[in-house]
Amino acid sequence: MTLRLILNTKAEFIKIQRSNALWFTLIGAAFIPSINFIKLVSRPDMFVSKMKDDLWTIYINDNWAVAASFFLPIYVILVISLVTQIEYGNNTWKQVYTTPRSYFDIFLSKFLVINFLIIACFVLFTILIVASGYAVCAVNHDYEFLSTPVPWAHLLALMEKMYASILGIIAIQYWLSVRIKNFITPIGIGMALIIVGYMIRQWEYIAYYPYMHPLLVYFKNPGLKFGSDHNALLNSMLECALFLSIGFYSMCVRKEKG
Amino acid sequence: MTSFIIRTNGLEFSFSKREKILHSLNLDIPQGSIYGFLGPNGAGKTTTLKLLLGLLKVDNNPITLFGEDLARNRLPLLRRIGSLIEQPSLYGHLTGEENLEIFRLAYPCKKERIGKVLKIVGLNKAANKKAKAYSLGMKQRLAIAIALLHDPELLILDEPTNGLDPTGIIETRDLIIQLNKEFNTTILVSSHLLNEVEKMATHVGIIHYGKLMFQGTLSELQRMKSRFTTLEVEVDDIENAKLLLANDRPVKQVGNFTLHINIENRESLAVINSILVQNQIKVYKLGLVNNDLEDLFVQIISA
Repeated sequence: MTLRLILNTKAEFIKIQRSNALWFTLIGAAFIPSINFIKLVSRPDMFVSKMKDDLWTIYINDNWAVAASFFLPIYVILVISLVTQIEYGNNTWKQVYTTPRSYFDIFLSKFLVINFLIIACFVLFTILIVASGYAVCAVNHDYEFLSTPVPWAHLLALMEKMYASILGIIAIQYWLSVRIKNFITPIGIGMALIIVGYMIRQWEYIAYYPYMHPLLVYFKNPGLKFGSDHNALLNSMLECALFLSIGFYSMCVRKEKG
Repeated sequence: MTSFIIRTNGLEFSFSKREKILHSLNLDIPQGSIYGFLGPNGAGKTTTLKLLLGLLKVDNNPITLFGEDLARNRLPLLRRIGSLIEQPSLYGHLTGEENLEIFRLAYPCKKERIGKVLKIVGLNKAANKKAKAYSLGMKQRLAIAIALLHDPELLILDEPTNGLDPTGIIETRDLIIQLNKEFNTTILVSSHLLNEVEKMATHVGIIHYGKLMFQGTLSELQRMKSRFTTLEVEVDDIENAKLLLANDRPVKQVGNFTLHINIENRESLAVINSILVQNQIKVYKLGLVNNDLEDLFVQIISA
């Protein structure tokens, strides 16, 4: 069972070679650091003094704040649809289901690859934050990125925390994208749920709303109960387990496969 | 005693309660045969093949493959089957070889098989080309290579010559015959073309509106087909001609001066001609009507 899962996960990795999902991950990870690089290089008069006190923390926050509030959920929604569309777009689901693979194997191996892409995006994003900081310094020596130590522990903790915060969204979007053939529908549902989240973000039970978990976990949320970020993190993991189970059940009972 | 690789016992299927797609289908596909599964578009061929592969769910477990219940032994049975359903399922952004590698890992089978199946389908030179750059014929052959990868005992091919040019059709047909002869692979191949099936099948099943209208060997089908040969006769006095001929055989008027007559052999043609001539009826045309699948269906149904 484990060996078969490993082999089939390897096959899933071959499928994402040269795929849009892979390109999107690489470009997505570079997007925010690139914009911030341009921002700092083009307006040193504004930012050198502003970032003087706690250079890396401010710069890391400039990058992660954008990611946590909007970019991260959007990326997750799109990349999951792009991965599942490899099967739908090529009309290969039926061939996958006629191979001697258990439904659990098919479901899990693709889920693992999706998580690999998301984690790769996190790691690349972190590396590019640091690299873009150094690049800013290389262009303008007034920014003291090279002489200030990088807070790696803080970056690592952020990655862990933010990854946990999106687990609920991953599971919901995975279920929808495997279930729905149309490329746009799961993306549309995901986007709509993000917008709804923003509209109800002061709701007392917002910690149960998966699409707002990254926001709650990253930002301090005045007006919400103490511990909302911790609850959101816990709920994200529980929702992940719940929606993965629903997604797997939905795959198993589907009358027509492929 | 004949050993059957595929047996269905009263296979029924419907997507909704209102419309039944398959009506009590009893397929018996012998080991080592090329079974031509014949029927017009929408007859239920693809649905049947999908059921045999477990792509559609059915109650009461009416499908037996290799003597084992499909519902209970899905994975071990799928290991023994290669398939191509509808159009080829290929990852367009990957090369032919990478496509094969994905399915090699799924079965799993030895790496050498990739080179072997590429050679069998004649794609070894195009192995490193992306699948989306393949012609339709090449895609079809790559899909067959995927189906052959694990050296299956049973091959299920759904309209494998669909959309191919004449050369592609001949190549695919030859490949099917070669696989059956060289590797003794049982092949279930669906088609809507009677003459296509006649050129390769050893056994035939004819499905129409979800019902199995005929099942037997190719020679049984050919005997049946000759029994239902239609003669077209054009005469000057249609009423008299009908009166003279209708006593001994089914006669149908299809135009002001044209009759269709079912005949059983070539001798009947000469007899009919002499009856008409001896009775001073002028014969302008006397010829056999092409016995295509549609006619055969009509004849089988009305028989």
